[in-house]
Amino acid sequence: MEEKQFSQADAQCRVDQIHAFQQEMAELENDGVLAISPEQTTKVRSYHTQLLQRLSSTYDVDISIQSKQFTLGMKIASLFGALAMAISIFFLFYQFWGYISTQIQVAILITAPVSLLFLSLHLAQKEKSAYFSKIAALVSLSCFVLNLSMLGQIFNITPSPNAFAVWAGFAILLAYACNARLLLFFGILSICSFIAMKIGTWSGMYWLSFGERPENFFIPSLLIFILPQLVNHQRFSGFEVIYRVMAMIMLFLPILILSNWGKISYLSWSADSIEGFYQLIGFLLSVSAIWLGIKRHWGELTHTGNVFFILFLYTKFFDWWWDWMPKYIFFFVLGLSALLALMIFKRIRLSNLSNVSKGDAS
Amino acid sequence: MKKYLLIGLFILIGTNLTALGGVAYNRMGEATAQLTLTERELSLPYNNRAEKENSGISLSINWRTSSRPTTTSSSSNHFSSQDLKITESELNDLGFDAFDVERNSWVESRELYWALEFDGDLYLAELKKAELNYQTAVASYEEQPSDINSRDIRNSKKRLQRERISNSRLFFLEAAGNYDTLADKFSQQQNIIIVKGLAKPYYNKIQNNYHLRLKYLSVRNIMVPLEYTEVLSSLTSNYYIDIIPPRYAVDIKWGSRLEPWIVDAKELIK
Repeated sequence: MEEKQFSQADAQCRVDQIHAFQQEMAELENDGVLAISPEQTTKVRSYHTQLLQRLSSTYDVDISIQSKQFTLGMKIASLFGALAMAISIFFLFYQFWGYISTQIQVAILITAPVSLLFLSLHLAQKEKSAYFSKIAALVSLSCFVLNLSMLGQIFNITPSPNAFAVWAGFAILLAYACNARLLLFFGILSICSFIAMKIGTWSGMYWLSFGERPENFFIPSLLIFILPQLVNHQRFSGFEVIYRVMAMIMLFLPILILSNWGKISYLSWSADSIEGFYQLIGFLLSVSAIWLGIKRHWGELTHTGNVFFILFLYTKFFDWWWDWMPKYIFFFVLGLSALLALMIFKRIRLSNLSNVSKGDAS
Repeated sequence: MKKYLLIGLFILIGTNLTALGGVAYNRMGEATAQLTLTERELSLPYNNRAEKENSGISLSINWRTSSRPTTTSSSSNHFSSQDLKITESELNDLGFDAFDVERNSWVESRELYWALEFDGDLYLAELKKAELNYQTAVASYEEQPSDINSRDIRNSKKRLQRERISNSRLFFLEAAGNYDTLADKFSQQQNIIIVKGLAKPYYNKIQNNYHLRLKYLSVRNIMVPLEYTEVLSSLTSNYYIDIIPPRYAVDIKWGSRLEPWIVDAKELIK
């Protein structure tokens, strides 16, 4: 019962931990630092063997390096297969839909995502690693996207942003049912686009022009960032990471655009003031993201914060110096700034290490 | 898994029922407009590489605006610019903020209601302009025979032929922020359709006036159901330079949601 509360990633982490322990024990015995009795060694070994077998049978985790490499290959093949199948469905329908009546077109468009939903849920229940269920789920989502977009074409329906809300709902449902991060990515993208479209239409713009006001993405990015704090994702490997990275991208990318192109902002200040304001906000928030990532051990937050801090810094350098500075000096300054960053990170790392060793000593 | 299945089915079936219910609602009751348009107003898709694998046929609606008054035959002057001069109060009536448009060059598009006139006064005016243009070119040549004037005659004759035979007769008439304004105004005219379309305003600082750029219709293409494709399947799309009479006519209705559908299609010439 205990294992079922883990996600597959947690189970894999435990397997890696066991291997690391076994290797370190062998090193300690070789160096004569530690010697445990043969009975204890046998007891630990048999416990680990049983645990590995149990984890392998329950979670389909890799208990050797070879199987880990195969798994990576299978993940790549499954991603590629799912995307290719989804695209193939679109072209298949386009190729033949002109030869069938409207009633049959509608029947095919409705039954395709429904039957693939059944298939993906059946496979998710049957399979341990869920490769095929993930493929079926992605094809089901693409059939649903095709379903609504083709109904729109067949009946000449005025395009509406509401389609994004239902696509998001279906993608997120399949993501949780099949533990599929790619589907969660599509779901988050769709729901954020929908919210941004709705905010845009409330201000009077046409919904498809939602991208013309990047500030529309601030509210969805905040919601997406908060969500994993409210819902427990222990059983879903990597979902919290996807939520946080997507939230960061949807926050920083609009800020980056607005810091260079102030006239598309909702703010009624001069373009220069808006750009200056967003540059400042960009630096502050990216530093805050790095700090929060380090504090909470959210590596993805630190990395995303780092990437955007560098982007904010270098676009500013480009703004200030590209036109008037000789190129060799410009790139020399970039190199110097990278060295400066390296020195700062080194000092932070050293102070961090000394804190850890002080903690160990006490 | 049962929970996921039930929610999934609810999303899929609920969404389809809503979409199809909307289609039924649009087609229920009396149509808001009904016109018989020809190839001049409804063009076939270009048979390019991407479209080759698409077996469906949808016709794109060709609408235009009146050309600016001109006496020369230069082709650029006859181009339908889709750009209208507009007053400050008209702009405010459409839901835009004229002050914001003047101050900010970045104003988003809005979906407005457009009244389009088919084969009416605007088309006759355009035909007259083309005839006048041709007569002016002939008079100029008779007064001063030259290669340039001879070329002007050829160009203006082509323009006149195109206007008589192949150019669209569907003209943009007026835009409004709400449907009722246009419906009340044009309720007696059978050749007027009201549709939704996108428009974006801008302020011309040199001329000190406001403009409205008409972008595109919300429903730009009309799908041809299988039962009417026989008339169109053997045809290929015309290019603008071809001056050939329309080869098909299509009866179209617009419903309560201003969404069109085809009710009949027939061949015009063998």
